[in-house]
Amino acid sequence: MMPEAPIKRGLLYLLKLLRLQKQNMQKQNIQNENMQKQNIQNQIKQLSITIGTLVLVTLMSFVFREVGIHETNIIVAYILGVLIVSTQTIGYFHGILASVIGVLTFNFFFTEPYYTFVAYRTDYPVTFLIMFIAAMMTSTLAEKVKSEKKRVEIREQRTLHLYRISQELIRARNVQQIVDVCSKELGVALQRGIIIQTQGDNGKLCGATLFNFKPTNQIEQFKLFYEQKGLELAYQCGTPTGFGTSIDNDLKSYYHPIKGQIGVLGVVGVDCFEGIILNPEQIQFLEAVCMQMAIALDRERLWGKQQKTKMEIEKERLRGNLLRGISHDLRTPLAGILGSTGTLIENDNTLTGAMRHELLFNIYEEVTWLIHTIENILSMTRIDEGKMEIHRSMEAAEELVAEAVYRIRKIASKHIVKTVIPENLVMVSVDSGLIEQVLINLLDNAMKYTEEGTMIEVSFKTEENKVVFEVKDYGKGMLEEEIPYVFERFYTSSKGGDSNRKGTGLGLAICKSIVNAHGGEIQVNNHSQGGACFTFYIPN
Amino acid sequence: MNNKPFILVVEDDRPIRHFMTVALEAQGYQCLETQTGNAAIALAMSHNPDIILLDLGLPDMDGKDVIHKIRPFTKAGIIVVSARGHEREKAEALDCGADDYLTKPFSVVELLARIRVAIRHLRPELKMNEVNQGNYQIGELFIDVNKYRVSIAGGEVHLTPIEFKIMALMAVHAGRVLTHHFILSQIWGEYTDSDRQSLRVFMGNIRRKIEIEPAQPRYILTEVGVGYRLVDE
Repeated sequence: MMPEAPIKRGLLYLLKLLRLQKQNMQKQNIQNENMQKQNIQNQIKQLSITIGTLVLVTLMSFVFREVGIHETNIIVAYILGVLIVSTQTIGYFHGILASVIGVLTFNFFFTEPYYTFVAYRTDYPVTFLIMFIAAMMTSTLAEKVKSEKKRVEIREQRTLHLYRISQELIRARNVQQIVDVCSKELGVALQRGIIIQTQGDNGKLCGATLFNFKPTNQIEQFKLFYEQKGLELAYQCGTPTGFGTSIDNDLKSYYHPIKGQIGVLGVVGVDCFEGIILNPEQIQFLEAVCMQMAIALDRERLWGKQQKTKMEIEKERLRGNLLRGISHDLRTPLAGILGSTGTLIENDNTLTGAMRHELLFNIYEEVTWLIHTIENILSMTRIDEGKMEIHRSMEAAEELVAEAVYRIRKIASKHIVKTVIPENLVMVSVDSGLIEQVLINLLDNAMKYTEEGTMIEVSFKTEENKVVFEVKDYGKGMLEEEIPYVFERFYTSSKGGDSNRKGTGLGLAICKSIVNAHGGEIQVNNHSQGGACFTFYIPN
Repeated sequence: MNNKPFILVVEDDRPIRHFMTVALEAQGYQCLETQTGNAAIALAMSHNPDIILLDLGLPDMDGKDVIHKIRPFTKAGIIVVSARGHEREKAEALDCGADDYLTKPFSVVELLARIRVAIRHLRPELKMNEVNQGNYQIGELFIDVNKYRVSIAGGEVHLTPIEFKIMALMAVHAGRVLTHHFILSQIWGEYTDSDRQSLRVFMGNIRRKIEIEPAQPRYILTEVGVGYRLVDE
């Protein structure tokens, strides 16, 4: 079965090409007919201008003769007529025709003998010659001025266009916007279909933006295999390819590379499906737009690099802060442990049982605190690495709460913990270790800042499409002005609670990071019975 | 069998190995230490310990391989020791043949509690919760396997057949952790992912029927990521 499939595909492809070609030819024929009709109409119009003007001048000259104005004025009037014809018609033909007819008419009507082509006066041939030359020159001059004016108009348009493009490019915020602006402007200016492909992150061309000037353009032809190849060739070689160039001349479009500071940044393809080559001015315009595009693309690339560098610097700064904070906060308990153990070793035989027990108990407490803090620090470094990798699994919310309460009891058991849960089982998709850490940190925080023996309430419930957890204490609550800062790193309450152990200020910050990484939010407020209430939700 | 239970401690970190041995010997257990998996296998075969404390982070072998090699040849209770955050590692070790686990850092209290449970399961005569054949009592919880009755503080608890099966299974293994996989395969046999979800629902229901505060259970503890444990006292 293998060889059949590609053959079939190849045949289908050929058929498609043939059909496209037929459609094209039909269109060409219709267009040609239309053009011919228009041409004839134009010719008739211009001829009538010529004849009309000369007739008018002749009539005017008759009037001159009757009134008695000298015949030199008539000569000048004819020259004026020729000038008018030149300015109102296109090309040299009608101007020259007018010159000839003008002289002949002057001869016929206004030189003696009247109404003949013969002229008696010996100086008439000179007059005729000079008149003819004058007429010719005026017509050619008029023609030149016209075409010059036209060129200047076009150039002015192009300049305005370029100015407008550069304005829009300044406003563009990303590569796609740059490409969109340029493809539209080029398409409208050149009145053709446009394709633009730019360099992606991996150095290869990616993404294609097409602009369709008019729906009959068939810009799908840009996607044909050899057209793509032609485009890529322009990208790789940095020279234009395609229709009208010396490379791949048989392609239906013209491809122009966008050259930046370092290399080729992309390619612009212009449709030449109607078989009309781009003139040098259009190519100049295209080059100017490409230069603008290159500048904008380079700018985007550099801006992207700058952002990345900024982020790296920020990351390093955070890491530095974290390390400093950690070292400082770990030194204290370690100093305590070192001191206690040293004392035990040095004074082994002089210490009483009670003193020994107290020193040992101190060590035990410090270590417990260290374990808890290091968990938090480890989480923090995971967050700072940039991506917080959460490994989600479906867990029962009540089981998470149960384990968190169980674990906090091992390090602090002087409070009453009450749990309030819904009647039915609530499942939530979380990283169990991380969410437990959130609960433990919140419980630890509550215990730290409230009196021994007071109650701490943990609850959760489902709401719309999320699960809302709550940790409520019945202490003195938070100071209003502290509330906005509480989740910041290294922020510890100035109120202080348990004078024994001040936190590193990481606990709540980690809660926030973990909850945010799960797509949820955390907040705190004082509740009606005094005391603080921490609430966070995890979306389902 | 010698009266003093014999424990093989497999741990490569010296301070930890030391404190475990000291604590266990102080309780009256006999201890043998080693640092590598290979040595552990050899010692397990030759000395036939009652309990093996196996660290999963050994330098020379994967802990699971050690279990594979010795499980067929010994009835010893195997307690694996692993760091926090490695729940899956623990669950896999348990499903490979380990009987319980400890999470580093652990306290001596936890260590001794685990050892006690393991010894009870080794020597049925030490099982305090089995009042007589098929009858279990833990605190105020009574489970009669033969009569399909469960009661708490005197009041009867109405469990569905599957809930009862789960309770019975946990009672038989009281004190030990049972992985989700173990419970599912014992009760359901072949199970699917939706059955995993159902297990949570059943456990939730059981907790609501038995516990005063289902989210602060007294009897049925959840070991998140690993399984469930019915306390044995």
